[in-house]
Amino acid sequence: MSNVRTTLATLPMSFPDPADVVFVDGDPSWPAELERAIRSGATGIVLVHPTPVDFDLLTADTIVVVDSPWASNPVNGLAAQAFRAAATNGARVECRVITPPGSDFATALLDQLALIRAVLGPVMKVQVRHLSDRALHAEGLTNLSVAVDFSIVCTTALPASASLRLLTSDGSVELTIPSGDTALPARLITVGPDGAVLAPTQYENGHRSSLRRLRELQATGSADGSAELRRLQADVVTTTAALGDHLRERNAVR
Amino acid sequence: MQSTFGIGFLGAGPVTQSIHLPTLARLGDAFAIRHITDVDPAVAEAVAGRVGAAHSTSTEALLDDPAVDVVAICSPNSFHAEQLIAACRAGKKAVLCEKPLAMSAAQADAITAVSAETGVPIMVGAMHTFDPGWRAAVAHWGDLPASSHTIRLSVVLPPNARFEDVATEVLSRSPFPAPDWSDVEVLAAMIHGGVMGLAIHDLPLIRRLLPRYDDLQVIDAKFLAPFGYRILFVAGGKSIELHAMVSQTWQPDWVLEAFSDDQVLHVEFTPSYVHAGSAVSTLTTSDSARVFGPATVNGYEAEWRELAAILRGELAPPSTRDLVDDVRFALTVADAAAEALRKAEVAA
Ligand SMILES: NC(=O)c1ccc[n+]([C@@H]2O[C@H](COP(=O)([O-])OP(=O)(O)OC[C@H]3O[C@@H](n4cnc5c(N)ncnc54)[C@H](O)[C@@H]3O)[C@@H](O)[C@H]2O)c1
Repeated sequence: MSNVRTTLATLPMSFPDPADVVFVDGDPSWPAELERAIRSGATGIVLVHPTPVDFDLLTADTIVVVDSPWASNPVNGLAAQAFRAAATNGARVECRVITPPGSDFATALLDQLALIRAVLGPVMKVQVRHLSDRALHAEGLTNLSVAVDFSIVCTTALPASASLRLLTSDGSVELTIPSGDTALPARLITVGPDGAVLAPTQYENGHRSSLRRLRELQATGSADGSAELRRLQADVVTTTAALGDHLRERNAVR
Repeated sequence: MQSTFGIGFLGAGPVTQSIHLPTLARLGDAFAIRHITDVDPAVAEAVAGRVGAAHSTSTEALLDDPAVDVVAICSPNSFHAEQLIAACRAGKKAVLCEKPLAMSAAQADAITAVSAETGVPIMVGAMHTFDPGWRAAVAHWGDLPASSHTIRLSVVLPPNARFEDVATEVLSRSPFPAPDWSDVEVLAAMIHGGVMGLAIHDLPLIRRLLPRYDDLQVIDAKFLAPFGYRILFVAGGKSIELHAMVSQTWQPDWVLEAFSDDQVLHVEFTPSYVHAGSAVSTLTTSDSARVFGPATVNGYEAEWRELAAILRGELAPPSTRDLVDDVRFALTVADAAAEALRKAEVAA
């Protein structure tokens, strides 16, 4: 949450007054926090980096945006166009995340599902192939039958990042998203027969981009304030189904 | 003391023409090409004509040629072991065998035996193992072999021809196979071939990072069309991913990575054939990154230079046992990947 505060200190004037926005920390007790915030009549809520826990959807007029480390990066509008255009029949995407040792793999996987949803569409099913203390390898399938090879690798030697790569018959689409703690931009590169194109870089971190989304949703007046929570709920179900047994097994061994 | 050594090539296909001939052209102080053998007489004659060497169509003719000190085996994989054994028995000074050294455990055993019997130095043309960029990383990586927990190799390449044609005008070329993709045995053979043909370049490097592989288990193996694979296995407590894709892309990307809690190795290799210098290796920790390479000498040149030093008695030959262990490791991965793919296909 301290990173969110840094972001709030540097907002453009036109953004919603942070005083009117409630930030809910995504640690495992977030559903109760969120419920409290909604009942208190908040008009805008940012749920920051939620862990995958079971939750009920509340019906309210409050707009809730989900601030997810990779999916909230502003590159994803352009990335979605590039990946969707390249994802032909039988396409495979590699989705790799670097994270410090000790990170919660369930949350890291949920973050990956949110990213794939943002650029390609929802992942309907995930099968964990290998899980150790330091790495996870899994395979998933999106609603449009794009196969996704997920990996999570732990190290402190590199800053946290997510990278996506889709190899096409004559090139590739590659995306690298740095940790959202700074405005260091993501890099989206499309390679085709004519060469490689780096999409214009956008110096805005994911937290601020989430606030921008909140502002836009508030401005429309008729936005479905629970849409992001519903999508989150679907990804939580997929994550839990994929990891449940593995994590239980691991905990039992300990 | 002899200072220039005569080389004879068994097999004069694209690798001889576009990899070894251009490399040896830079090493005229150490080597002279004396004899070219190919089962295709026109190829043997034409390639020999380029370098002013004798030519023939039989292994015996080359081995009987006293001008040949060093035998370079560049024939298709299935002939490597028998030609290597014949070259050792013929009392040649050294053998450089293109990868893979062997295609079965029985061949590997026979190579071990002939090496013990004749003492002829044997080298394998696994150029990445000689690459100065890789070697520098090994010299500086500290406890990475023990501490690394995750390894990943990804090779994205245009078809070989694109690079062969940059290196030279290739005279002969085997057609790209058009297999029956619906046959599980075809897929199993393709993935086996992918490991023994492509991953083989870096499996010796990966083995340096593995304390053991007798517990090797393939978790997932997939063939990727038009030609590629993704193999996930665990060995010695580490997870290893092997990925490859040959497509029509112009952009090659050949990367080996090893991750530990506090150090990451990233090696970017130059493509085969084109002589674009050495690999660039980066060893990263949370507070620094050390970069090794690029050197102008690539792995091909380094392997021939090392062979010259061995022939001159300046360097001990590589341990044949180690080379045989490398190929056993590769065969273990290839066999297990093919078996995992068969099982998965049957289950599906
Ligand atoms: N180090 C590298 O970068 C690299 C790259 C590609 C291939 N290779 C290896 O090099 C070797 C040759 O590759 P290539 O692409 O030139 O192969 P290829 O099959 O295209 O050509 C081999 C040549 O050997 C000839 N030949 C066939 N049977 C023979 C025999 N019994 N004796 C002598 N010659 C025979 C063929 O007529 C052909 O001209 C292979 O073992 C391959 O694995 C190494």
